[in-house]
Amino acid sequence: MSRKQQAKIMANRPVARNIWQMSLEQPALAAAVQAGQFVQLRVTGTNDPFLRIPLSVHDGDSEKGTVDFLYQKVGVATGLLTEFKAKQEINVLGPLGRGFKLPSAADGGEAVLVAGGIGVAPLLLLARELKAAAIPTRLFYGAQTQAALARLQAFEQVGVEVNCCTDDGSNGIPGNVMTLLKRHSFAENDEIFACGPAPMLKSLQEFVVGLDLKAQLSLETYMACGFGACLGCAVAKGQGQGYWHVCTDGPVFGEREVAL
Amino acid sequence: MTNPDLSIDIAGLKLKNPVLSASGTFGYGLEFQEFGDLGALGALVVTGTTLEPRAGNRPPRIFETAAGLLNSIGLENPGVDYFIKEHLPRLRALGATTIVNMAGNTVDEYCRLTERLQLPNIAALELNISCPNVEAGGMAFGVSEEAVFDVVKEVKGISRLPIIVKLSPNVTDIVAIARAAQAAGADAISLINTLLGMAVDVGTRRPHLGNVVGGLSGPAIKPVALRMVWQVAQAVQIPVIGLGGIMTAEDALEFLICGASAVQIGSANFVEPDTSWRVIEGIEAYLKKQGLKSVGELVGSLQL
Repeated sequence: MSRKQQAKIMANRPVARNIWQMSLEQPALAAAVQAGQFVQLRVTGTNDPFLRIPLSVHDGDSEKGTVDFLYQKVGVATGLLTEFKAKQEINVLGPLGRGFKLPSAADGGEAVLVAGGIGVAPLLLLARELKAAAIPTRLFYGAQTQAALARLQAFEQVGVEVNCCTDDGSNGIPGNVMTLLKRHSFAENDEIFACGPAPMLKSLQEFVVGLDLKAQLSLETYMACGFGACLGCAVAKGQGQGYWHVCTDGPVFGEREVAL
Repeated sequence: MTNPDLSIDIAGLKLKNPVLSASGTFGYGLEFQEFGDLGALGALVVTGTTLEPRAGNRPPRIFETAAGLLNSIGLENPGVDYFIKEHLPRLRALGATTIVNMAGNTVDEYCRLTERLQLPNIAALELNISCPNVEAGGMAFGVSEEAVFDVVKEVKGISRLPIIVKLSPNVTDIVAIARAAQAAGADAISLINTLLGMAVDVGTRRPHLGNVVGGLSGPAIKPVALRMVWQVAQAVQIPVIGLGGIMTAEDALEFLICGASAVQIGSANFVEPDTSWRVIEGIEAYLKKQGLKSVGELVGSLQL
């Protein structure tokens, strides 16, 4: 069956500074989606903006048949996305990509979610999946300021221990997530699940490799098609020559798989 | 009224309809199976194939621009041997009419590719001449009439399969290039490939593409593509395949009216992956509405 489908918008509203949450009704997508996957959304019927926009899936409820996205209003395409209203339809292509791999509860480790800014988006559905698998989960979440932190209550309701930090110190520790990570005592079987800006992921990669910890990194790149046809979303392989493609080999990669 | 005849004859190749995929935008068709029947397309022109595998250019390889995008993919592909062993049998099993786009940096490379690809289940070969000719200082084959004539003549000398020559628009006189390809024996011409362009990040003062320059495609280039198709179709006797920014059946019809016998769908595949099938339906609906019995009646029917 084609993964390109119309979806009905249930809600679309701001939830933090420049951050919006859109809820869609799309039962096939809700049933199929796994944490860490993404979709390609068409935001206009015209040719400009031309391409779809890739957004990771923030939350999903296969019983209700709904899927949620958390997105930052940064430019023309996301600006257009904020103008969609409940009861309108939007065209969605997805689920796309390879999501996070859940650890086994038997390993005894903790799942440490690490979010930088809008990178928090894919981690709520992951938190649900982890809690359903009885894996203790905590979130280290950094943003510029308190007003830019989104969905804290949603994570707490899932049973995640949330620790924040802000660049300006208005919520939690002043600093970025690396500050929180460096203070934390990791156990051998802990696993990190991270999403955020490229500099954060690079610092995080150095940190986890240095401590010999396992991590899964959700990457973002410019994309054209999002489903493996154009080969545009290349990221250099961590070992050996050549490139992975974020849309089909990722967006989630192991800590040593990519050169950041 | 019976259904209009969508079939067209290109250089002895009888295609069921005039809608083809553009090389580099349709992979090997496999990614598109969920969106439609590959066997229902006029043909699939698969990704540019080189003798040896190519990893492609360093990222970023894509940057969106007004009504289009820049790409500097760099001909990433697994090489001709892998294509023949892994992709070709799958394409045959799916009933696709397969045209292979060939890319090389020397005349010899094109010849060796041509020899390797003389296979059943390949309908034709498309010669990508926008590649740098390393024996001529890296200038693209496609900007020189002599270079185009030489490579087409050599390739035609060894190919039983029809040879389609895909022209670069980044030239002074596209008609002269087209005539050179025809004189060398090309069975058909496809145009246009991408227009050379670039974009800059003013925050970092760096190019948005890792390769600095790239190819512009999408609706933004359609007026240029259409004009070139019209000029070339006037000037040559061999069939012309038009591409450049086709998003809808209406766009495709403009190219047919201007003299293209067939069209290729490219960047549209990234946005609406089922575009090709909708364009086929739209062309058929137009022919019925206009009372035309076949696509052939439409080709080159521009009224001046």
